[in-house]
Amino acid sequence: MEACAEKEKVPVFFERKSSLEKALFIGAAAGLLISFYLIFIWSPIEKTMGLVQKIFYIHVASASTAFIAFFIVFVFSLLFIIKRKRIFDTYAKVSAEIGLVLTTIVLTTGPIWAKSSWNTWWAWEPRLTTTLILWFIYMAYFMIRQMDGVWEKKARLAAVFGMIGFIDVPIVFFSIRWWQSKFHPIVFGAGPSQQGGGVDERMLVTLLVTIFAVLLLYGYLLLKGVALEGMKITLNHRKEKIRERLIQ
Amino acid sequence: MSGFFKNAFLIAKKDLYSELRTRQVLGTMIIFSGLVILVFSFAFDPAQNTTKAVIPGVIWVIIVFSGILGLNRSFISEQRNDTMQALLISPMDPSSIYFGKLLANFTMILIVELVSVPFLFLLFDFHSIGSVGYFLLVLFLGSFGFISIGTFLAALAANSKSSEMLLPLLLFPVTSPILIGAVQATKIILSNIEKLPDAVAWMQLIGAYDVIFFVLCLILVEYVMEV
Amino acid sequence: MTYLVVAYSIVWLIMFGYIYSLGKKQTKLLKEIEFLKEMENEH
Repeated sequence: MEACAEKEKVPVFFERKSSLEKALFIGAAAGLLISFYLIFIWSPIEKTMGLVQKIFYIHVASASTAFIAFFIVFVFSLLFIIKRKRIFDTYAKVSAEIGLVLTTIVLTTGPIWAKSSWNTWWAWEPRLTTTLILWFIYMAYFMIRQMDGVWEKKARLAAVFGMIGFIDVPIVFFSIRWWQSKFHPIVFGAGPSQQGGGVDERMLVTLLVTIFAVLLLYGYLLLKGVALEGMKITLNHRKEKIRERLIQ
Repeated sequence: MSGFFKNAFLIAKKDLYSELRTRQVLGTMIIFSGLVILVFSFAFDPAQNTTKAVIPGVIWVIIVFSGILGLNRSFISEQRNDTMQALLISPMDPSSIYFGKLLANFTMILIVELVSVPFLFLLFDFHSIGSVGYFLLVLFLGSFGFISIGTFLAALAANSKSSEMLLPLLLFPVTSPILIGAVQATKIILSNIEKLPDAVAWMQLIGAYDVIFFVLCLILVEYVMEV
Repeated sequence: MTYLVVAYSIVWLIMFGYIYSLGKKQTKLLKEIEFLKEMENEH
């Protein structure tokens, strides 16, 4: 019992907030405000696409942060498989959750941008399609987590799937790019490469600041989510103890 | 190492033998693939020439859907008969159990293909295969990849009460590279044989996927099949 | 222009929806903690 409790231990921030969490919150809020200023006021309007191009910043920032979130899922899944500590599982779970939210953002802003610039809601563009498959993979990841049974089994199976899923991503991307290039020789670019060599410096700065701000937001949400999960786990332990005492 | 193969062949033999006795799964898979062909003939008019273009897709839809039926059964049947625990505590590596199950499933899907693909060609009056050898090769590579990751995920899903619903959700997104590659390669081989190097490139992609995921599954299956 | 507005409002809707769900989870947990504390005091 004691060993089990040790294994399941999750650092808990009950009523106090860790200073890192506070710093991340302030950083994320400030970063997002600054990036908003940069996106809407400071950065120039793109010549061919006009105002709509400003979707690009949050789209790319969410996409890259989502990818990092899924990488973190992979890392913590691996750690969980090796060390079998519940904290690693909690990190993987929360990170996957945030990754899924960010992917949803990518998948909604993507079509809106596509509609306005290519006049079609969906293009089977490699990056967008990979994101869609990524979304499905991590939805399946949550389906595994909703299984019945003890946490250890669910965590183990989810960790295995989290690793398989992440390793699959580059192959998916590669195969879709290859598949698409057979039909459309002109590859739509969603990245800065689209503007060719002439990326405005201010656009690049805006993009980098937005990415950084979303990353900070991710960090804050990760810590917050892990703290909440930790709370839930400790709470369940306490409940169990009280239940035992009441029965006696 | 020889123990690994011996145990795997033993498991495969056991599965195939019990299948031979009951003829539950294989019969269902073959009838199901016939039904898929029937449904497709309603969806795409077989009399029209354009229908030929969807044949590569139909082949892989048959393989995927009837394959899912077989995969679902392969671990569930062990649980229904309460033999899963026995398998797990037997002095066998989880990886050899996995490999044995893979061989059994693979044999079954090959039999299904052997019956349903000629049947499809017959019904849709399709008789211009560019290269039979390459066609068989792409069927082999694609089915192997699909079944190897499918057997692994079936073992994973078998832990859930609703594993029949869970398995397709896990399997389809993960195998999307195989499906893309196999359909493209089949399309080139069946109707556009001059572009054979492209098909070979796709087969190389499928082959790479097969190797990566087969090895990965062999390593990770230990964590899926813990007691 | 409309596309831009729609896109950003969806982004923030999703983000706030997620944060709101986290907040709700937190208040629920805190409530339960209070309840448990009371119970522990009673016994």
